[in-house]
Amino acid sequence: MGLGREFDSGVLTTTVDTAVNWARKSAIWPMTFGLACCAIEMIAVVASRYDVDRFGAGVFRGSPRQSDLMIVAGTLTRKMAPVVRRIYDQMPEPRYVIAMGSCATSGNVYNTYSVVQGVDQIVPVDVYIAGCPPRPEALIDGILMLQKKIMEQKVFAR
Amino acid sequence: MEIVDKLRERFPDHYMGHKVFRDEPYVGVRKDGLRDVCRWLKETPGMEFDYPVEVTAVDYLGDAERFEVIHVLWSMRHRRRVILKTRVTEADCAVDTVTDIWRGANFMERETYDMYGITFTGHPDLRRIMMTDDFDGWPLRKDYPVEGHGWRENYDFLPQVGD
Amino acid sequence: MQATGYLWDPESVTEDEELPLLRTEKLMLNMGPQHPATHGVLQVILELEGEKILKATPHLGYLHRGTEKIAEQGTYTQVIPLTDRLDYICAMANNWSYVRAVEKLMGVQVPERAEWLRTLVAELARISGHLFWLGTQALDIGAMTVFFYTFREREVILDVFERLCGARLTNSYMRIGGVERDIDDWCVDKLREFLSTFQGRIEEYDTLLKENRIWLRRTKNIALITAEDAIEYGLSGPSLRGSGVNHDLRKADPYGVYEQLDFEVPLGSHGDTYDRYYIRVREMEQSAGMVRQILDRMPEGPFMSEDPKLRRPDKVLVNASMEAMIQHFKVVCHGFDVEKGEVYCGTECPKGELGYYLVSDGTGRPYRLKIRAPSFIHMGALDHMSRGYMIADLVTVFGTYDVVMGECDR
Repeated sequence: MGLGREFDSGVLTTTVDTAVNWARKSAIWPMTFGLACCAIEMIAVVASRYDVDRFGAGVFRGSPRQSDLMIVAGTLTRKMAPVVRRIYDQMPEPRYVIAMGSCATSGNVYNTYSVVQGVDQIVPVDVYIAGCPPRPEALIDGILMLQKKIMEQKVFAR
Repeated sequence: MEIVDKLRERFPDHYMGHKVFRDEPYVGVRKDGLRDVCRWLKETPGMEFDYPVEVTAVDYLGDAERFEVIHVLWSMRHRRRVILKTRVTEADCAVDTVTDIWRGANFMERETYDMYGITFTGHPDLRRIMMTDDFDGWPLRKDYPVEGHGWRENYDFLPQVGD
Repeated sequence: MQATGYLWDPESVTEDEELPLLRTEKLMLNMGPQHPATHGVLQVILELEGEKILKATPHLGYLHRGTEKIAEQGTYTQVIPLTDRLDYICAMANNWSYVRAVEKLMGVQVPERAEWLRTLVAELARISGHLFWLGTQALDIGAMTVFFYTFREREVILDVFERLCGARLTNSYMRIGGVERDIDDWCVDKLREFLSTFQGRIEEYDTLLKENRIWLRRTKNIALITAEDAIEYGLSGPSLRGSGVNHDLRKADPYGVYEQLDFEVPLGSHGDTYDRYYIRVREMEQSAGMVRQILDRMPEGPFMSEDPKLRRPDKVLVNASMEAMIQHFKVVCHGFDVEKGEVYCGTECPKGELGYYLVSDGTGRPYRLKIRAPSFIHMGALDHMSRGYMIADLVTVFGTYDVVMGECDR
């Protein structure tokens, strides 16, 4: 996710990169985008037992303009597809997308006239989480995988 | 059965046959008389079917009268159910609405229209409810494919990533 | 947008008073489909005058997955996981509703222990569903504490479900002819432990909400509906009983072992949000009492019908004997044929009356499966219920109707 001013990798730029990435991964603010059953497991992740706030991702914003992460949890239908696209476009960069559950990954058993076969037909996805619905631990594992992916990004260094 | 006998006595031309299955009557009604029968079922003391359970349709592809419109009714007072069945042809698939008799039938009839293409004459607001307004085809008919008509190949109703 | 003119009668203004002119306009506002409080993907177009709602038109279909079309392609057993995903908060109750419809059509006799087990998990699903409802309704109105407490309770029930059938949320536990697996001692102990503390927990929620001034202001006299209107719109479940109509399919058209259990059906009187909240909390208490009775009185016996068309043989036999393997193959791959006919069957799910209209053409696949979803019917009455209230009350209306979009759109 370059900022338009890439420099050669050196000690200073990689340290700045690490610092910036550490700040980004420790406070990923998701947006409430629960569509179907996976939303219930997402809510369970926020609730008392599987507290996701300890990973920094606990502040669920209602508006896309204030969030970094869109967790698409549930089946995406043709009627909802333009809405997802518009919301993704409204999110400021750096932005990430997690496709949670089988319906968001590939359409699941719903190979029908109204279901989009996976949210990656509409928006680019960073992490896929399988399951129907995935356990809350699986979602936390997905968020940690995303954090690892963010740490590897180059911001200032080339 | 008591309900069937009274209905047959009151509407001899509209009655088209019945069967009793698991203690519930399934009565065939002629299309023209559906509204009168429904109103009579709701308002007569002793019948009082004031609760609309369901309005739906079944597609019997290959029959002369292709669609069967089904009304399931429940009586709060007498705690019993009756099921009315009406046949319509494909060329003239229109049935009278029962929205002014039971207001709850509004959404149920809209869904039947959306899925089968059966119009309900007199409905206050008959438009699609589940699919988008510009959707082409009637999804639950037997000759409509499960995967739909090919909009999944290219998503040209959306801007591409990078636009 | 139309100018509606004066807010008062101009003739009543005397010469001495000088009142400023106010021009009012109607505003059309879009709410959803992505909205934190709409309990799923629902779009409501609001016509507003200031903050007062003049008309609310719901637009559904954002989660329409074509369940009824897929149900025509699979065997009767393959439809069971699809029914889980309708009201995904209380999946056990959906399973039972479908399985009952098929058994009613076929005339299958279900063993005694299976009926007791089914009633047990259905009542646990009712408690779980109402806990979820209470947490999210309180969260929408602003009382966040209740949300964390109810989810703590709910996790215990989900642990029991996971031990029982493998999945926390969408459990396809029931089969046509019985249930998949028997309950074991770990589950029974866990449930008894849960029951011993549950009454205290409900009293905790009562202290937080029942006489809380803010809760009373936000829920009393909001979203009123009279009994006649509720019946005419086809409402069911707590939404109907809140208006005083004593209609519960567990008593009116009994199934399972409800006739042998001792329970009451709580009724409201005003038809407002507070009554529906109160009914649901009391229903949780009644369900906990029923679970206790079931655990005390459940008889021993088989948990699946012995009919060879329906029952899969034991795994040990399948690996050892050829006949058992062929039977297993037939039951899983081909399923069973149902004779021609049609039936309607309704059950009392936590949200309302979930019914299935099932038409069979003699083969092993349903010819038509129509799902009568309570949330869809309740959406039909949304306009009637929300006129005259403010926008913030619309969020309360969604909560009190307890709509789940998976069921509404199917």
